[in-house]
Amino acid sequence: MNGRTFRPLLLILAAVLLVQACQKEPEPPRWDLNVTAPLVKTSLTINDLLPDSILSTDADGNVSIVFTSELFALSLDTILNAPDTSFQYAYAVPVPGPVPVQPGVTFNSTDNVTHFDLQDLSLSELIVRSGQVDIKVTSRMNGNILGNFSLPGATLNGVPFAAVQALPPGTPANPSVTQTSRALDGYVFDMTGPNHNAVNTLATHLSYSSDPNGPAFNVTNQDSLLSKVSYHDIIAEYATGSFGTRNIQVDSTSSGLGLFDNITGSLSLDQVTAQLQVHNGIGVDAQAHIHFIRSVNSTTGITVALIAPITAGPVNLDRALDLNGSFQSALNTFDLNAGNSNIKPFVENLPSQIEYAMDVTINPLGDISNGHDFFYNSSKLIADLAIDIPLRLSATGLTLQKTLAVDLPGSSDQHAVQNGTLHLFADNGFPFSAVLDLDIVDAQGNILSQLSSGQAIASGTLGTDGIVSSSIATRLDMIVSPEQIDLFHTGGRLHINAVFNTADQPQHVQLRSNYSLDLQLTTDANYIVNGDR
Amino acid sequence: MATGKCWWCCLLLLIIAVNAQGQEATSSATDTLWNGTEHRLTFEAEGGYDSNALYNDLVLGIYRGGYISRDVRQRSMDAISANGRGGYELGGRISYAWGDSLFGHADWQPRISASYRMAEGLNFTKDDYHLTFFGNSDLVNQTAHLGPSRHEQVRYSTIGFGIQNKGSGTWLELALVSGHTLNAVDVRTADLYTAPDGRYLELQLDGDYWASESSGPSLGSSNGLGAAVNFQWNKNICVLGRPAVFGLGVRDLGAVVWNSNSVRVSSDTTIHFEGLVVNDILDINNLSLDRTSLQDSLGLGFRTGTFLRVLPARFAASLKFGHALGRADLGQLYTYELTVEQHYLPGYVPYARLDRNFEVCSRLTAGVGVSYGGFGGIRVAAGLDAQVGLLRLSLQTTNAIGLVSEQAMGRSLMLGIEAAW
Repeated sequence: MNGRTFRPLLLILAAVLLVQACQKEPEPPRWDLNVTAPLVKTSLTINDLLPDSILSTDADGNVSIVFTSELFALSLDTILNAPDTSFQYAYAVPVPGPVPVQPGVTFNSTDNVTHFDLQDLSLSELIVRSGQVDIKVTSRMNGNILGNFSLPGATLNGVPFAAVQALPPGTPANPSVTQTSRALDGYVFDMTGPNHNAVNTLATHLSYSSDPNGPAFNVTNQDSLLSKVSYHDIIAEYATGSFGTRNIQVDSTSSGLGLFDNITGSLSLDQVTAQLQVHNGIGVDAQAHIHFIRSVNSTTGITVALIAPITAGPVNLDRALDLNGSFQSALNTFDLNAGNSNIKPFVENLPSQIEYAMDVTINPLGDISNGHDFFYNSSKLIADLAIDIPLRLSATGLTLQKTLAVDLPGSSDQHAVQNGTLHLFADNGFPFSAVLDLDIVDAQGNILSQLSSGQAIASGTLGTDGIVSSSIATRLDMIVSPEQIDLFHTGGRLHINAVFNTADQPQHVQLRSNYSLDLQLTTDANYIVNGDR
Repeated sequence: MATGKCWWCCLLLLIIAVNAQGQEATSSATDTLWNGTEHRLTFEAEGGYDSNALYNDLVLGIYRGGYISRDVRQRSMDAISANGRGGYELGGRISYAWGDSLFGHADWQPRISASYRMAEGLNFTKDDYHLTFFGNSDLVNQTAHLGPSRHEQVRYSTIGFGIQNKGSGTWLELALVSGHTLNAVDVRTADLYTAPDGRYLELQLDGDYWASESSGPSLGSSNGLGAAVNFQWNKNICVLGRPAVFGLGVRDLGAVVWNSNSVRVSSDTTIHFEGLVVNDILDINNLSLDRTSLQDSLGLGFRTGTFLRVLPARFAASLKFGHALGRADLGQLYTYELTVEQHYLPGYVPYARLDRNFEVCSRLTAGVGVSYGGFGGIRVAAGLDAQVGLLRLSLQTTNAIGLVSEQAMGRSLMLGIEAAW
């Protein structure tokens, strides 16, 4: 036997290796399993159904919703909007000249005032939170000049504002231009002017002198100096004075409530109280004229207008207290209850939005503070509607709807879960039943397939005292076909429609913090190992 | 277990009988072994799997991928009596011995070797198989017994240094071992009860799990270090008045210390599972379902750290007797060869094989044999052995039927190349 004997073997080996090397990535093995297993379990109490932040529980475990919604807020920019302001100062010698100017000589000094146009506001003091002053000097004098711009009425830690600029020589034909910007953050403006008897007025000082280290020069009446001072982006930290009598219009607007989103049906509450709480952080008296407050259910289209004393006439609002560096808001409250308003039907409408319109008059009685109106940068006029709903209720067909994206592993072509049956085991300790409809819907909400229709979770058993004495177990089965699994993989979403009815209707039943609904979901499913790969 | 004891008793009797006769025959047969060549290069490669229950169509279906039909799965399940066994071994070893003497001893020479080996062994219950390939729906309101069962999958390589006797082919090596991957499970008890409608699963579990660091994508990355002893002892004896060779061999008798990133779980507990607890059933998409959190919730959290694990050592004894075949300088063949082996792997039972070799021509020998044990049952073996110049090539299978049939169990192929000069 020689080497030729093995040649066919080597050829076969080489061919096998070649075929193996050319094979594409091997697909994983797959086989189907019938799996029976628990999936998820949960226990729902009222704290799980509603956010803790709006729930209140008394000593007996009775639960109330205490919910506050901000109706509106007027902030500083509603009161004061300081416009950008510019002033110009020009100087020229009053004689034909030439007039010699020796080094180190002050040849012009001017005290002046700046008036700010603040409309109805008459400010005596303004503390700047942020802002800037730009100083631009155009020199047509043929010498080195020092320009000194100062604001005697604007101080920072007691030091007046001052800016000195070195102005290079210029000519009428070829003037020199010098510009500087300075921040005014934290400066206190005395707005009473140099004589402390004005408002919205800031004392200014401008002087020019020849450079003590420069040469002497001559000026004529053709030579000039032009200063332009611009205040811009002034935002106040604090202001005081007389704010005048002004009317601020709050156009019809709405505020989302969020409490009853996705809920429809009939809800009867035993009792509802509410309180309109107006926090006035501005140092002015005010009077609000509430034109309307409406409960708007955008699902049903039903609107209930609040009928109450606060909507029938003006509401007077006390002013905030100035604590010299901070302030204390004035809280003005107005109670709404079944005796003085229709607040119960207002809430039972399950509003998705609160609509309102109003106007607010500042200083309706004039300058009764004798020029001591004030505001701070954080001052606001805020109105909240606080609603207290004891959860003693009767619900009929109260419907909760929710659509969930179901993210099953795999793709429409390859997925592990093929079909099966879902078992929902409910142990209900709440005094209401729930009828469940589960559908697969498309992105527009159109029903593609029905998973479960009309299956009910029974209510807990009520005792003679109206309290749930024992929970009731219910089992719901939902068959999920391969076609329905495919729908989930092609964008189908799970739509849950739960209709709640309280037991012992039409009596109101009390919800308690210890009530719970225990749910467990199990499955009998056909599952393909590696089916999603 | 009784079968295993029987084989060991036979082996013991055989060794005693052979030694009794071999005392007088040794000197006359010594130079018929390897003929004292100064250079010997050996390459051995083997690959094979076997099982006493898993048919080839199932195993190949898993290997090839694609859908495995219920019929295929059911046929293997029907073959499981009480416990199933299975495993594979894949690897190669190259060794080289050279020189005319070692430290003044003319009969000895230095030897080096390198090897790479992947091995897996498992034994499993019928319920293990049912749960794996059919799920638990058929076992509702029943307890599935998933233990005792064991599984070990290990991959490692060695570099060995030692000495070899030129005349007899006896050698001894000490090897450094680099552990690449390890996955091992020892389940003493695992009783899984599935409540009706899947209301809960309850698992009484007593078992251990070991795994090497999962990182290290490259084939040779090392996750543990160890040492092993390899040796082969050959002895010329006389059986029924004719020269024979008795051999004892051990491969990979040692252990690996797996590094500090290795993980292990030791659990003796009862796990009651009623589903993953969610806070908001309407927000189930935010349900966190990762392996770590699930293990933690079930009390099966990993512990990281080093541990020592014994290698899947192989022990073998052989007796070659009858007429001598082929050339002596490339390892003498005989008309009969009896081999007994045991591998330290789950599911591996003592293995015995009897071969009958035929001289086809002066340079080609063919052999057939019958074996029992290992991962499988009774098997038919076949092989070819050729000697060409300085080379000896051998190609064998311990499962000739499995090599060609998907309706059989197991498949194996071994290749040996030896050069001596």
